[in-house]
Amino acid sequence: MENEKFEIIFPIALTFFAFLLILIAVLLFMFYSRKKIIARELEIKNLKLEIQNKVIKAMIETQEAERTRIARDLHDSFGAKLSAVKNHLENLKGIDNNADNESIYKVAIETCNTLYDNARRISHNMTPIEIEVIGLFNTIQQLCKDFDNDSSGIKIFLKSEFAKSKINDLKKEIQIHLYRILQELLVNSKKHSEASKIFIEFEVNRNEQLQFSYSDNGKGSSKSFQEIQSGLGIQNIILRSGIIGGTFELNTEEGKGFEFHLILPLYE
Amino acid sequence: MFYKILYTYITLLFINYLGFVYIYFNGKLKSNIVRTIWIYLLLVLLTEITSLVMSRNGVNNLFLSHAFFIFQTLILANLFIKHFLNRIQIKVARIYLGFSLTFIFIQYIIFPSLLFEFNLFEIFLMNFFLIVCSLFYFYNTLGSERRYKFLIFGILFYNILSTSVFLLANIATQINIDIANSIWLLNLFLLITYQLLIIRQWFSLKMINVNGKRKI
Repeated sequence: MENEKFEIIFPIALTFFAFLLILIAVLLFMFYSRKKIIARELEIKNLKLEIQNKVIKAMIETQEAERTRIARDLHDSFGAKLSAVKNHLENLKGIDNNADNESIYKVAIETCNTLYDNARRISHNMTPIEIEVIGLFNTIQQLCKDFDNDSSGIKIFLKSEFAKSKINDLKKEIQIHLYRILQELLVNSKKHSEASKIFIEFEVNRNEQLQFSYSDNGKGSSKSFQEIQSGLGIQNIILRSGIIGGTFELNTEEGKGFEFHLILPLYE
Repeated sequence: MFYKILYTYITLLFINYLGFVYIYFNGKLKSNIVRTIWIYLLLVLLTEITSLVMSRNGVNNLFLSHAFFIFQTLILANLFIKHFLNRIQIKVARIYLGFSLTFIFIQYIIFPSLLFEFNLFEIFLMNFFLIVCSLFYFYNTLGSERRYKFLIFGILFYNILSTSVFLLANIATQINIDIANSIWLLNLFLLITYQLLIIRQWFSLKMINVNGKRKI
């Protein structure tokens, strides 16, 4: 009787065990397949993002190269010739004894001066050629000074803790991007913030990283990060931060101004 | 009726064998994989014909089934190990095969009478191996071309279902339910479906041109 029971139960138990093994194999297959599919999708997504970033980087670099070319042409060719025209006018003024022509020469020379200043300003805005001559930090100081003069009511406080030489030693492409980021931030503050003070700080932290901090005491914004980053200016800032390998943080609240922090490695 | 279905199955098997021999020797797909497939089909065909002749003459052909199961598994294992599995999977396959074959041989040494009986351990061990290898194939080819999907799906489909059928049949036998004829009939239908999948595989391979690309 016991033997009979065993002869029935044993095959049932074995069958159950066999089915269990097959089920486990199939479930494991489904689990690992799902994992592999997700990993693959993530890989494709990251690849697309990488390609997108490369395309954007190439576009920005082409844009910068074109801007530099136009700025140089404006400065070297147009600016130089305008200077020459002004010199000729001054020479003519010196040898022309007709008093009636004095006012005409004066207007012509003033127009040349205005044109020269405009060309210089446009060229300067297109690309900061001075970076190569006087270094990034001094160019930033000049930018802040020009901004002070143009934007009445906004005072800029620039500070760098032993970071000046580090800033000037950055790669040229990184310097230009950093300059553009600061330009964009200043334009944003001028257009939207109604701020009276802007604080800009550069410092080097313990991990040999450059910390760039920007803040204003303006009206701030209650918009979410997604809404803020939809703006072209902020998009530009985010893109350029990514291109130079920096990590950024953006904070703003209604009534509490605007803050932007960027950390980027000094050495690759 | 059973023999009519059996002859249908053997005919399909023969057609498949000829089909794969044709595409192999025709030069378009002279690969080791296609060669293994037609050798496998030849083995199955010879076993089925021998088994049929023995059965018609009243000779116990169960010992032939043991040899068939083992050699079928070894041929398909060779196919999987050489072409479809990665390094870790190959190690797992070899270890499993080594242990299970050793177990089966020891079983036959201790219980030689099992050679003339239905050995469910052997069936399950060999079929489970092929089920796992088939799942490995589908896992490895996720997101890429599955050139042999019909064949491997056929192996997976047949082995899961036939193992389930034989295991359930064993329980039925233990509780004195006579379903022997139904089981063999069901097994035949599974085998025919398997052969139809192999035919589908043949058509799929025929669409591949000399450069290994699929013809549109």
